[in-house]
Amino acid sequence: MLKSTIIDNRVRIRPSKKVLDFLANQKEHFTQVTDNVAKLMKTNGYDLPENIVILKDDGEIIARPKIDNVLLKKLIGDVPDPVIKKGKSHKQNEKPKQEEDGVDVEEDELKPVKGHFLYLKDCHWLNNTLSDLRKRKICEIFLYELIESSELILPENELKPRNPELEKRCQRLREEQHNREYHKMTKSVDAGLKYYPEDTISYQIKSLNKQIIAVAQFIFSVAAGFTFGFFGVNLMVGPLPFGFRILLGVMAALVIALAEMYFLAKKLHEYDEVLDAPKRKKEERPRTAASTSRVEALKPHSD
Amino acid sequence: MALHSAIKGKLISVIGDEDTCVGFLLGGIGEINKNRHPNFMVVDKNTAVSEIEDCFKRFLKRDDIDIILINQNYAELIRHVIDAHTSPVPAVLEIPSKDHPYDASKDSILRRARGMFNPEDLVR
Amino acid sequence: MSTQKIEKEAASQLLDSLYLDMFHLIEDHTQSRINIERTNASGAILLARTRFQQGGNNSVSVAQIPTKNSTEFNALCRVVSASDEKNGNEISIERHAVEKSTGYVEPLNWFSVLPPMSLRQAASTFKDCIELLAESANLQRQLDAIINNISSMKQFIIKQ
Repeated sequence: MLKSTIIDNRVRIRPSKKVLDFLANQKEHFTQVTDNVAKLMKTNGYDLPENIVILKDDGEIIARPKIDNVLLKKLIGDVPDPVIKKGKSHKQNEKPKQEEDGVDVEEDELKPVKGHFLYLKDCHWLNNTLSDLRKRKICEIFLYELIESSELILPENELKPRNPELEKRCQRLREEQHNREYHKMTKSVDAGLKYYPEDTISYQIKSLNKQIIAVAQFIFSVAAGFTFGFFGVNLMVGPLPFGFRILLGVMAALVIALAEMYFLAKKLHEYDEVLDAPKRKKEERPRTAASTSRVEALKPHSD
Repeated sequence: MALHSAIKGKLISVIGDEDTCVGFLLGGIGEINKNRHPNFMVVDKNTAVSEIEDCFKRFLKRDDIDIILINQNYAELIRHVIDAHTSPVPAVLEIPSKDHPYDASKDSILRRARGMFNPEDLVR
Repeated sequence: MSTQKIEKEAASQLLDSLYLDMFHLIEDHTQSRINIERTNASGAILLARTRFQQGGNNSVSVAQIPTKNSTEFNALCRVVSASDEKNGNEISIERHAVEKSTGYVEPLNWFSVLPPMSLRQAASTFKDCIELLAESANLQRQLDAIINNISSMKQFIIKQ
């Protein structure tokens, strides 16, 4: 399972027993209820009176509450700062422990939290209802008293299983990577791979040298053959006519060239074979795999 | 460098992986000041946690930085330092990186918000 | 006695609305982070496309961005606080025009002399992302303030 982007960014509140008790006790006084709260009460075994209007979620955006900053400043001004800080730092010392436990558990489970929650809309409804009830002197409960005992659940990431095709491809790429690493490691041990081309300049120059030497050798031998026919036979047998000497030289050179050509071809072919060797080796692997699964054998062509 | 002091506004600094840094630098937030201190740090897999921590603390100390961006996966590594930083300036923004989506339950400030509730006798 | 009660009620009501505001802010905060994530991801894709088109991984990388040893330059983007806003410490982004002589260099030119289309698009995507960041930073500050206010309000109510 992979975490992916958060889709539902709503804040959720897991109601505590206190909230439920309150809802159960005060249900006669409600005039309307959001559908989510109604559902919540039903699943927890509380019936709603018949005459309550259930509000449907119509996707209406609720404005942020206005905060009386003046009052806030006035009230907070009374609270000495150091106390807050102390309290805060205490809390922060305690918090991580709790949080870490919570996080650990979550990560162990790695499941979305289940159950019924209060959403922002429900909180607004609750707040309005409470202020209404307070006005009617039915109860003296404030929202914060209710929700402080509840749990705030932050938006969670969607969990998505990995795409199996991607998984397969990753597996294949990983195998190839490992194979390459293995070849690199065993290069000095495996005689068959001794001439396997590397990606370095020294290797390229080396192989270039080899080919140049082979060609130079060919030219030298042919030249030597011609020299033998042109001068050597003349010296051995005596003075010969010029045309005959050239003919002899060319013939000797030709014979040697033929023989050399054979060796050169053989050598170059060998070199090609070395280049091909790892490729052929790799091809063998899928063939063995093909005996177990036919799908695998067909796949390399498709990609 | 009289020019430097005359510039108004503060900087955004970034601690993140290659793509995040390159991207935001393309956006034009990068600066190297006259002391040759860059306001960005590229973290790769060889970077030690202590280096990230030192860099983060250095950014906190600089008074010309207003926002510190940090990839959330690296913020996880130095969580204690970020939790200890409570003053609003510079603001530490934990941003998602390309291979780690944003996780609300790890964000320092949201964890603080959640810590204000004391859940008890919850109903499942 | 009654005045104290009224005051307490007002304080409690205030705390209620603070809590509600906090929930709003948490939602907005999360949403802004999701937006950042989206923009960031599309920017990363554009960067990857640039790399793919130019061949090789080194065409757009850390190797191109300046280091400690390169010459100094100034940021094009700066955070400016607009103190006349309703909350007092809203911030916004201000951009400076590119001007080589005073140290405002164009970041695109680090990567290539003739930046490809996708790299330009990536740059503009990340510019959008920076705007989102400022918005997110504002939200985070508000949230931070609200959390602090709530904890001090709690102290206040407990004291009474």
